[in-house]
Amino acid sequence: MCIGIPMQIVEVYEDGISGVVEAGGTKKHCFFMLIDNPKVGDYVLVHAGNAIAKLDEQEAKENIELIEQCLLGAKGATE
Amino acid sequence: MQLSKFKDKDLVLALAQSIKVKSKNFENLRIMHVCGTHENSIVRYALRDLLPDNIKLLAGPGCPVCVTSSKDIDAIINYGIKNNCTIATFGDMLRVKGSNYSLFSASKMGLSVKMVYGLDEAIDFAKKSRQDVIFFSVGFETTAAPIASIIKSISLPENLSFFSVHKYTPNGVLELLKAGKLNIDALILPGHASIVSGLVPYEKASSDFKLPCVAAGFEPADILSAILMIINQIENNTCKVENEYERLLSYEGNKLAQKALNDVFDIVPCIWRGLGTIENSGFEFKKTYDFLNAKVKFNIPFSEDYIEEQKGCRCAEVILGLIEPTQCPMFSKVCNPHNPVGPCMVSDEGTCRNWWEVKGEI
Ligand code: SF4
Repeated sequence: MCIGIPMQIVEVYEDGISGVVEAGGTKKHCFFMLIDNPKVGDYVLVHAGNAIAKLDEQEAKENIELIEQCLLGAKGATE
Repeated sequence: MQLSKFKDKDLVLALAQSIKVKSKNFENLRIMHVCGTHENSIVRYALRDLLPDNIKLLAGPGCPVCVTSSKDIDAIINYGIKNNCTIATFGDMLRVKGSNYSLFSASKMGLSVKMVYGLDEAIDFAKKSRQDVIFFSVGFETTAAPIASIIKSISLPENLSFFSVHKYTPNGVLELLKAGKLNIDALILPGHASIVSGLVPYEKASSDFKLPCVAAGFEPADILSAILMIINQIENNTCKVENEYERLLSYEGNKLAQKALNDVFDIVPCIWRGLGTIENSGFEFKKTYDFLNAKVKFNIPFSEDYIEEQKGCRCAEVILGLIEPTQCPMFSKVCNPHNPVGPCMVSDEGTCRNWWEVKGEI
């Protein structure tokens, strides 16, 4: 129930606050009230039928960099 | 979306190695997470096996189903059986036993129950039903905020109402710390619940209790990085709230979600199963929403005569990280997912259930 699943928006209904998301071939109804400006193609984190955050490729890249830095910092301290 | 990088074997092993080297500077370190999905990842990727013996990774109260009080479960079952209505809720709530029955076992005695994956399905069901439908609304802020936003934006069928057992993680953790119930040195903060709350509410836990706090994602590299960040803080004699899950989580949290919560709910004292009443830790509907608050609309009676723990079940100790599931004599023998004795054996987020996946006998 509490599990967040990354899914892609494949349709935004006219009301602008709901639509369809897809992951691994499974499509599901989704509400978009908690994210700004939902667009077809956006990746979102879906939680109990609602998108609660947008996922961003660039931010994922920066996150990996953060982890690598943390690792480098740790190595530096131990060497 | 490429998430495989966060599972990269070399990266994961390098993180584990760094933790191992640095851990030599410590005696014991008790790090608690408060999220069922974290426990799920930790078990699935066997992350505890990658940690040195002196670093203990503890599962705290991170499963909303597990901390739902029997008092609430009993009340909804008793009301539902005596009155012509349907109780709709998420699948993992169905098999959690109250004092005597779960919603599922009560359905065999005539209780009308509908399992749903989200509130949208409960709305559709209510539209087609001639009965009253009560949504047993369970979950932390990650679920409460979406539900609040739907309530605010969608016109709901008149026969749909809500029984809120929602809980607010940051205050729950803070109050447990104040009560001296958590014997820990650091906290891993929940990645998804914090998307809603942000990290600000955890500042108090960090400053008042001198706890390094790091919010983490759910991939193996995320969790190990968070542990390394905690160790770095302790080495540097600092104590702050940090964010390992920057790709999704902002320090301020989701403002739209926070507004929806503030508009719809008040923060109230609430019972966490096995832990008693915790101040400022529950979401209850504001008076303006009395018309869809089932507790008020139907004046649902509550009994003070309820049993939180089945005989011999040690869920309360499991939830506080005081024992591991395998220390419960019933684990896997009498208690398993097919016959869950305590709530921790039911949901995918329950600690006993997660441990059973790898340590249980079939
Ligand atoms: S194994 Fe079963 S009985 Fe024991 S603590 Fe866990 S849920 Fe309770």
